Amino acid sequence: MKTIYKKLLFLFLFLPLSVLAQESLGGIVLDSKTNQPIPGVNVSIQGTTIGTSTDFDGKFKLPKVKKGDKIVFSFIGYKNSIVTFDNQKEITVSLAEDANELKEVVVQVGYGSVKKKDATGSVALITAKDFNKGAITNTENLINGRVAGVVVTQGGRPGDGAAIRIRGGSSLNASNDPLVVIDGLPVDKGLSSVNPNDIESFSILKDASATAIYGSRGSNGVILIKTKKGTKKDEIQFSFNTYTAVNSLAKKVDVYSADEFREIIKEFVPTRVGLLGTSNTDWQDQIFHDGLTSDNNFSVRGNLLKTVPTRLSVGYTKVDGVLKTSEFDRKTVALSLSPSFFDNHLRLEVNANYAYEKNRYADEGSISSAIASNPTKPVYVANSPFGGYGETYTPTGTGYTVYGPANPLALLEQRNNRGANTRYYGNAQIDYKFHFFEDLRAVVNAGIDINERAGTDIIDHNARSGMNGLSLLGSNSSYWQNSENKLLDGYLNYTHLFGNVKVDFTTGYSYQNFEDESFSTGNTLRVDSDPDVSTQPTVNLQAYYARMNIDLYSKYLVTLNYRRDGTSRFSEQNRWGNFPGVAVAWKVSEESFLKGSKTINDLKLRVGWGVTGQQDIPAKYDYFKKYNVSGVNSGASYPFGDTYYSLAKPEGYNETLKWEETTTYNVGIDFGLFNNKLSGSLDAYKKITNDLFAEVTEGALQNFRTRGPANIGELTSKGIELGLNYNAIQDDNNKLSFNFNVAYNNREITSLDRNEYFTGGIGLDLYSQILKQGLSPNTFWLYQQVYDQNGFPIEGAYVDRNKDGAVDSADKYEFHKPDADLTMGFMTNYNYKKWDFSMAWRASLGNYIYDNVSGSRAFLSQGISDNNPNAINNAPVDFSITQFSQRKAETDYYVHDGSWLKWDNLTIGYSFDNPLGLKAKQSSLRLYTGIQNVLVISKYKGMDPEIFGGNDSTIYPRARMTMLGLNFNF
Amino acid sequence: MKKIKSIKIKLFAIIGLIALFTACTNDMNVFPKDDDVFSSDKFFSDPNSYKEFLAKIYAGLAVTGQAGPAGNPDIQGIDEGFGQYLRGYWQLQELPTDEAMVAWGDPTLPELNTQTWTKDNRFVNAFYSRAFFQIALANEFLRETTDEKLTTRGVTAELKAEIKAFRAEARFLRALSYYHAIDLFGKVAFATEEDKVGVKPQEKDRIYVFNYLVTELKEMDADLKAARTNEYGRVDKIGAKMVLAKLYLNSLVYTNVNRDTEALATINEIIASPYKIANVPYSNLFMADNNRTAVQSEIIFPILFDGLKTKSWGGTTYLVHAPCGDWNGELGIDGGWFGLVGRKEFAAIFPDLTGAADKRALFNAVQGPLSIPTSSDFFKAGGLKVRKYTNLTSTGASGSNQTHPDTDFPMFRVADVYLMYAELAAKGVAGATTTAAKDYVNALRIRASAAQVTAADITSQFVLNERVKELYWEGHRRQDLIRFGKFSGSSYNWEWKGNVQSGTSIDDKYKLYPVPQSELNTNPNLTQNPGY
Repeated sequence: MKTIYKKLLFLFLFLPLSVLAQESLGGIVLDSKTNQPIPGVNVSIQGTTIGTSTDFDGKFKLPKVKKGDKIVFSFIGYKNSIVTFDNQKEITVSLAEDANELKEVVVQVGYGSVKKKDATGSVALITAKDFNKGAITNTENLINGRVAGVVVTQGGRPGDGAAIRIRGGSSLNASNDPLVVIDGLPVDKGLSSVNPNDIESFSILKDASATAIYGSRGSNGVILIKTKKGTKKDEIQFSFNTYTAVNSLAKKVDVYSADEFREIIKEFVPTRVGLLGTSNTDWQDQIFHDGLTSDNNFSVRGNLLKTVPTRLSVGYTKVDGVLKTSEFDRKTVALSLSPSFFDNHLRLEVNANYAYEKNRYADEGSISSAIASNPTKPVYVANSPFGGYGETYTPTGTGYTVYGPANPLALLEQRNNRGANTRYYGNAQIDYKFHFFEDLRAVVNAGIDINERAGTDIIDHNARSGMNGLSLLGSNSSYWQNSENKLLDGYLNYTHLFGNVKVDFTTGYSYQNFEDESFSTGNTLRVDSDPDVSTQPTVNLQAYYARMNIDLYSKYLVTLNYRRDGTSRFSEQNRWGNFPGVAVAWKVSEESFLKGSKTINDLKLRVGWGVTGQQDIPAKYDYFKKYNVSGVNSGASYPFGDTYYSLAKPEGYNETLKWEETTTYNVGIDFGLFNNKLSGSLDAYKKITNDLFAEVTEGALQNFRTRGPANIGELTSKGIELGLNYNAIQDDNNKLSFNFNVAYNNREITSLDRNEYFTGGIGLDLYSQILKQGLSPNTFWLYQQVYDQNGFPIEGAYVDRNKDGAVDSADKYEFHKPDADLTMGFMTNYNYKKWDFSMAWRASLGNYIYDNVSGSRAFLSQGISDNNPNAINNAPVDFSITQFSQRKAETDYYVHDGSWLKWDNLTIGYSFDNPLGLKAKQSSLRLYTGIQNVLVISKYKGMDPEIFGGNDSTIYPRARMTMLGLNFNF
Repeated sequence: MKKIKSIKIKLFAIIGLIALFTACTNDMNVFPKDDDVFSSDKFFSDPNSYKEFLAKIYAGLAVTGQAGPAGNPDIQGIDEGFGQYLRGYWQLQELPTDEAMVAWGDPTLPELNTQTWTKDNRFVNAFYSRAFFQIALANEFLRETTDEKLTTRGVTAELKAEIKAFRAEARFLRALSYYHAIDLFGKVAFATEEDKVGVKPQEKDRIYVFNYLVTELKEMDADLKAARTNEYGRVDKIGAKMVLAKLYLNSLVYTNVNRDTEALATINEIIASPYKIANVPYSNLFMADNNRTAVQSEIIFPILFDGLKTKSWGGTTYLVHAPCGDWNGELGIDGGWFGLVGRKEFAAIFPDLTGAADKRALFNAVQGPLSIPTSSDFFKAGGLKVRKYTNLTSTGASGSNQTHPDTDFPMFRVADVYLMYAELAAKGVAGATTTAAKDYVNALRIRASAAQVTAADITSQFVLNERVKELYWEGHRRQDLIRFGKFSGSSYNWEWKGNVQSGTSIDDKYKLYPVPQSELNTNPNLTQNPGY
């Protein structure tokens, strides 16, 4: 700031002073927050060339003013102020900081940052103004739908993390999760314990030229999260944010009502009409309820002891889920210190975070149970031995033989499954700019992420779900899990301007170590409970990396990346991988023929290439043979004579495992048009993953398992992404902006070494999907259903597609895929005076769903007509169409178009300026209300078409939230 | 210059620091830290390891993974319960015959009832995977216990001697699974300890494997323990002879060469051994305490189960629960699975269903219609309700767990050998007499309070029926019907044979199961059986 002042003052000295004044106006310009004078402010009369600037004390004198003239006060980093001249002699003008313009937009690129306009890769920056509004308890949801090609699938379970896919993911069996880095600390335990209020920005690296600096971990993109920091201002700023939301069930699974069920049983299972009761129970109404979410956050920002910019934030979030007994409670504390010493040569940054999350996990088996439970039976039965809950049973000896699904409400209320996670994470970074050699910086960053999880799971003695054989027993188990992730990074950065060539070189080393240990008691009420400590193999990752950014004439940008990565997952022969990246950008708008253009303000062309690696497979060391010895109480021991022996089993292994490599090509344009009213990016990419990790079927006598990881095949992704921002109206009273993004992505397995693997398990060895050469991953692979003349499916009748006279697995075929062709996000913000209005939509097109809710229930034998002749079960109404007598799972009949359009959020707010009325201290208050999960438009008839992976098997429903909140800054 | 020097020093300091990190690369050599997982070296440094490894191979017949009843499976991609060895073998030997039929509609399971299976049948696949998993384990055991390796590891002479017997037992277990595999599939994927892990095995035909097994079974005899001198549950010389006798008896089917003479010689050796018919009620053989000494004298090779320590969703858990309806309280279990029944032709072989005329008729007192009206979901509507296996002890107490019975499964027992002798006598094989056969049959009948027979009664059809009465639901029927020429074709039809209620002829191809398509996909060396 200081330097800007100086520069502007310098300019000010050259400004001609006019003394020819008919009438003149004097005054002072102050910062609206600090009330400090601002020197160098431009003061001019609108529509004329008359103008002046403020002096060192913020004072000015403007000549030649006429009554009615509009006087404009403008200064970089501040919002303009306009005053109409009414023959005043002296005026005081307050200028407010413009948060959007104060800083040059900077994006994180890993081991450093660059100005957004100098970025050479496909990098998206999402800051507070772009975040989703409304009831956000999960950090991931801030960006859901906001970035082209970034798909966030958030579950409905309170406190659940979200699955994030950038450009669809590059692998099959290995992880498709992007690398998430918080303030320089790569984390692997998700973001559910991160308070969204602490987030300042997300930088999302999508292409390999950008992610190659993260080498081994960059194949699925990188999300760099920057948290909020303290300020250098002496004033202390307080911020309080709170909202309360009512969570309600948006949609139920469509099953038969009690009366419809009676008709179904009479018609299809007449031998069991005796099992029909007289009640009318909607079991889903029994297990779901309206829950409450409350989210509160308080933060203090300031400059501690005038040298340590500090921010302290505490948060408290409580969510009662829509499924009864499901609760989430999170307390967070975030402390950030960022002092600098020796004239900014030594900068320290400490981020210390603490989160304490408590969960009560509801038994989600109750959802399946509610779908299948006999609706003619009552919820409660007096004298029921099962704590008064109605169950289907017959007394057997001193115990009970039970049938059919368990009482769904009892599953919830008779179980108390609680867990708590304490998480400490953070890092300390020392950034030293060498004295006498200021071009060189050394940065050392040490971080840690510790999760300590513990819980107990208690099932009531008289709960059916706690039975041991025929007797009531109950269950009491407890567990803990501790994990630790340690990081040490060190790098050198050298920056120098050689004439018109700016060079920025970074090289360093990174060490990261992951450890995990857990313990579980098993049901301690049982004699054969088997308490066991399970220690996961350590995962150790190390890397050397270097990056060179070259900027020629501020027009041509070149980035060269190289990273050499090692992992403990592979043998010493295959341990190290080399991952280079190159990107070139041309800032066309800096060329003379465009410079100063009003139409094209910004135009940058980018071309990038890079190779990234992947080693994150479930097996932590599959490359050498190990023996697993079963525990004495594991239930898997074998007697010789009277002595039971533990079982020692050689584990399957694959010595040849090596790096999976993804090569990405990316071309892109960043543009700003019409005074930057319309800005955006357009990217096209192609990714090819070689030595793909796949879960390979290992046939007879090939190994000590039937499936295992292997480097086989090739996956190709292609896509186009467009992100647009349009600031339609920007005047004093009206601000209207639109943000729209659309991404097309297509993945295809281009080689799988002639193998085929079934995926998408739908129970008991049945699969709905396939990995097969030439198809999109997890394409549905089923029989083609034959329909009768009325359009009803004929049970078990499938098309003999290969016309060999027999219908067998050779007749299965590809029928759509779960991946969407197009994903879109749309947000609009409108401010009118003190009012603000925001809404967000998302859409997904071309994604298909296998309806396993119906496919696994809507049939007679072992479905409606329970395997046990003493039970009958409800089913989804799809049975009325199929009337299948047996389960016919492998038919394309159950695959439906799952395209959807979702109105995620609607928020309306009103702001009060300075509600405290203090002169010395500015304050602001905003009240708002809104709805989350407003509307879903889809042809799919199930509960929710937004399904990760394409198989719809009852999910925890996403709640509709109606909220009321306030933001108070003072 | 001074300035630059200080920079250089600082640079070197940092470079030195980075070099220090290099030392950390050793951290990437990670080793198992869990108390249940060991590297090879560490594992074999424990003298108990060899017996635990051997226990795993035996247990492969009983449990499905490293946690019971489920949770850490050996075989991936298959429902853990379906992949249990005995359950798989039993289903393939019993469901396509008159002895049994299953009422469940699990996809491809009804195909076993009606001999309409295809190369995609998941129960065929499940057993195929399990049988070869056993063979792979045995091969590895033999690779890891060579004299050379034992010497390198400094194994004591005493332990070495013990391991010699272990090796013979591992060979037996491998031979057992190869025998099951050629019986069901004909040609098989073939590998021994000479072959390497990670290599796709070659295919060998039934005759090749038959000859290999005969040699193996003879060779291992020297190292196996003498009859009834081994720990209960572990095989001895007689167990190996039993498999050899089975191979010879079925030799005509397997190799087109009659080896009845060799069969008789081996059978006589078994009969002469210390294994004798147990002097206990017949039903005791299938109870929760059937590992007691009295029963042990008859059981040549059992698969052992325990309600607390040896649990799975197959084995006798399946055999007790699956045929049980709502009379679970009478079997000491927590619930019936309403699945398995016998067919009416099977019922007709017994003089009556109450057990009055032959105590081997272990059927439910309450029976509905014996005819099965539909090919699935018929448990209440029809079929013979069998309750041969129970989780009650001979004194009426419950087993240790009401979900997973303690009941062991007698894979080979002396009664079988008696009837094998009778079969050869009925065929007129030189050296086998119907007089002796009559005594053997009567020994079984006396125990069952059934009518005595005379030498003249010993005919092939009689022996086949007697095998049903004595050995039903013990996993023999399909093999027996094939050997007697009554499985395919239409010389003997039973309800739902050929997917017709009245029963109809089926093609000869069904005498062999198909090689699972998924196996063919993963190993181009393998070929499909004719007709699939």
